Amino acid sequence: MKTDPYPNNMNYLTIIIKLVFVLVLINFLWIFVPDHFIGGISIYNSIVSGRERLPFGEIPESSYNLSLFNIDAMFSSHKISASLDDDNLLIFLIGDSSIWGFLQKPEETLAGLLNEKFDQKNIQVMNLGYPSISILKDAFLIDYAMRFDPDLIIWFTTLEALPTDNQLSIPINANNPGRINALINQYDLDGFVIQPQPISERTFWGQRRNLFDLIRLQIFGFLWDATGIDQEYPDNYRQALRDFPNPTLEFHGLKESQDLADHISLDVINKVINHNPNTDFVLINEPILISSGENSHLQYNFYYPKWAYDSYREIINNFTEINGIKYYDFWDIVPENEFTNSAIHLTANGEIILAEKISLIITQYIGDLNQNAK
Amino acid sequence: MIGVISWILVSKQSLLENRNNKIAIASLTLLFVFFSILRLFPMLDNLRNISIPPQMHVLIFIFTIFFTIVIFQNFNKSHILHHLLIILLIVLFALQKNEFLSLNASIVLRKLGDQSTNLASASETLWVGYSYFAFRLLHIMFDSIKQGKIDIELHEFIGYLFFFPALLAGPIMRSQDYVNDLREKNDNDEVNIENAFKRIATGLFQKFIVADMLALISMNSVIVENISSAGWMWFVVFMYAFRIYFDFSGYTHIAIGIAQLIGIKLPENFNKPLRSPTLTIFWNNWHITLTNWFRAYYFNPVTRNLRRNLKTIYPNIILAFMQISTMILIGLWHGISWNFIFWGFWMGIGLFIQNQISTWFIKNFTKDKAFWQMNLVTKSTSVAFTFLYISLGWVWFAMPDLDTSFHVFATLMGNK
Repeated sequence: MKTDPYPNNMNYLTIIIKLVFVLVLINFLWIFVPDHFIGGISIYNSIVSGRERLPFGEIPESSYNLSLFNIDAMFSSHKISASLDDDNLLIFLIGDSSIWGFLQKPEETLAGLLNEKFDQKNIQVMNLGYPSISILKDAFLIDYAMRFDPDLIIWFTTLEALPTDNQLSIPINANNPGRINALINQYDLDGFVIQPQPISERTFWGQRRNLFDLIRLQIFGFLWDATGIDQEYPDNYRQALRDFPNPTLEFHGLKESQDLADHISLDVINKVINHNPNTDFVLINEPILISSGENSHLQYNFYYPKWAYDSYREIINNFTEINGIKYYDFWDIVPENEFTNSAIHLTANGEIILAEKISLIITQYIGDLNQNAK
Repeated sequence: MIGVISWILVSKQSLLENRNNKIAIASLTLLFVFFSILRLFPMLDNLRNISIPPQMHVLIFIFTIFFTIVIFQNFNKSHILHHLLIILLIVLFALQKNEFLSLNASIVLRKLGDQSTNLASASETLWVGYSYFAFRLLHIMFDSIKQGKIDIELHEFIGYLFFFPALLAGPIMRSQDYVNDLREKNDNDEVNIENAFKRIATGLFQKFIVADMLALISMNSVIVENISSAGWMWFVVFMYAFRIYFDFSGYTHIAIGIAQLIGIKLPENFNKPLRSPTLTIFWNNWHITLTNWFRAYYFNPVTRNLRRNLKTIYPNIILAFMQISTMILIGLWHGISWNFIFWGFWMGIGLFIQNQISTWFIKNFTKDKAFWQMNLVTKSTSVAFTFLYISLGWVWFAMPDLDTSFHVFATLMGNK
């Protein structure tokens, strides 16, 4: 006797109702799963080696790396999450893509060069740069990195990182509204509006992209370990602009007549340093491309009209002096020809020039520590 | 048009005289003519894509061939037209599977159409699903030569040739099975929807979750250039072996599931091949319909023929030749390049050696059992060794050229 393939339509209805119920339940329960629970699950530093720098990649298939916004997953994939030697002096480098090392192999980055320089000297330099130019992003990363108990943080910044208006729209900040809000409250940061965080974004459905990226990050871990490659190194790339036939005389909509100090968030630096008294900080004004091309008397590079950058240097110099922040201005130490595809990205030689300067700072810092110990 | 011509060649006279089939031939021909002629009328620009139309002499040439076949098919007792069509299918196959030939075909076609040859590219002559289309048609041609005219209506025939669920990645179904299922459906419209969706869901999971994830970490020409350690090279090679299985098996599940929804039962194409203890068993369980096809239309008849006609030659030499040549042909079916020839040779020689060792082992030691049948340890060892051999074979298959393949093997052996 033939069996009816559709024995009871109600069965299908029951299945659909159960399915919807389970989906709703999973989505609801997912809201309560803490970020660090998922982000902390990682094959890095156990099955595969930790990364030399935070994950970032625009072409994952060839760089074996990708950009994601789960900060727990980002740090879990970094070698910083491996068990660190307590006897080592732990130095963190914070900054933008120039510190992360755009177009540089891990060993060519500033952290790579410093680690080589201080090899065998119980000093471990961690590359915590991330390719977004934002002081709030820096504060976010520093706040997270504090759990690793650094001795010294060398914080690289530049004027482009400071305008208050665009801090919250930087992808890594915009995609971490809960944590950025907590940061704003915790550090009492002025000028930043608390971001709404719709509950739907915390559900399983809302988090699906993040989860997928997290899995991909783990998968790319194998190829990172296998190849040591974490970004694409094209043979040819477009050089940073050096000629400005139509120079930009405004900076983020500001004219020379306006007061730049009112529109930048230097205070973030002060608040972060004061909030973390057990760690030493050194602030560096990072090198920029000083163009000698057309209209270079009006514009230094793609980012900066001359008036804005000169004004910024004066402001930050006064600011650090008033607040007692150890500060070095390295804006012009790297020659024009040692920049790659951007006004802040250095060539391998440019990195060496900067590393020489930073190594002197570290040496002096160690000397001071030894002096204080005596 | 190739489909219609083939049907005319292989069909029984009664089917050709059937009014419905005549209308179908006329309709299909008219459609072909309509779309070809349409391009010759500039005032109908909005109905066609803006490109230079094919020249009238090309159309006349095509129609001359078509009507010659229609007229002379009744006098085709020696199957000359069948053989010509088989040659045409194989030539088209070569054009599809070799980049150099595809590019030159594109140049020739552009010249015929008075188009710029600067824009010629190998990809523009590629025909989606041609491999499977050609194999279905070849199987019908061979069967027709051997067994006489077939009893398939034109609409069934065209439906079979272009059966879309299996057009991209198989399985290769026999025409008679397809037609039987199609006709049976009228009497019994019972479709196992649950099982069909289960197959589709399994396929989607295998293809889009497992295989696509594995694709990120499996051997490809870029990854192997970046790897210098033997351990990691073994890793990406093994990942490729899993990836290709889940990719292909996933597609097959989807095809079988969709076909089931339509009421067609496609044959199974995989049966746990990665658990095979020998290469022979692997090839009985991997892309089953393709190996069956080659077994039926090449290996068995040619082996019989060679044994009958070359009695002085040691049978094992014939067997070795046939196993290697069959696998090389399967390799060439995937693409015409030295890498596929090497892959075919690798598999063929492996099959032959494994068969000889198995026979020798049974003869001298176990009498009634193969080595892998002795116990769990011998079975596990055999499965592992077979998997290893298959995985290494994929190096030829996956790499774009021999230099890269040798680089992979060198790295696997620890030479950087």
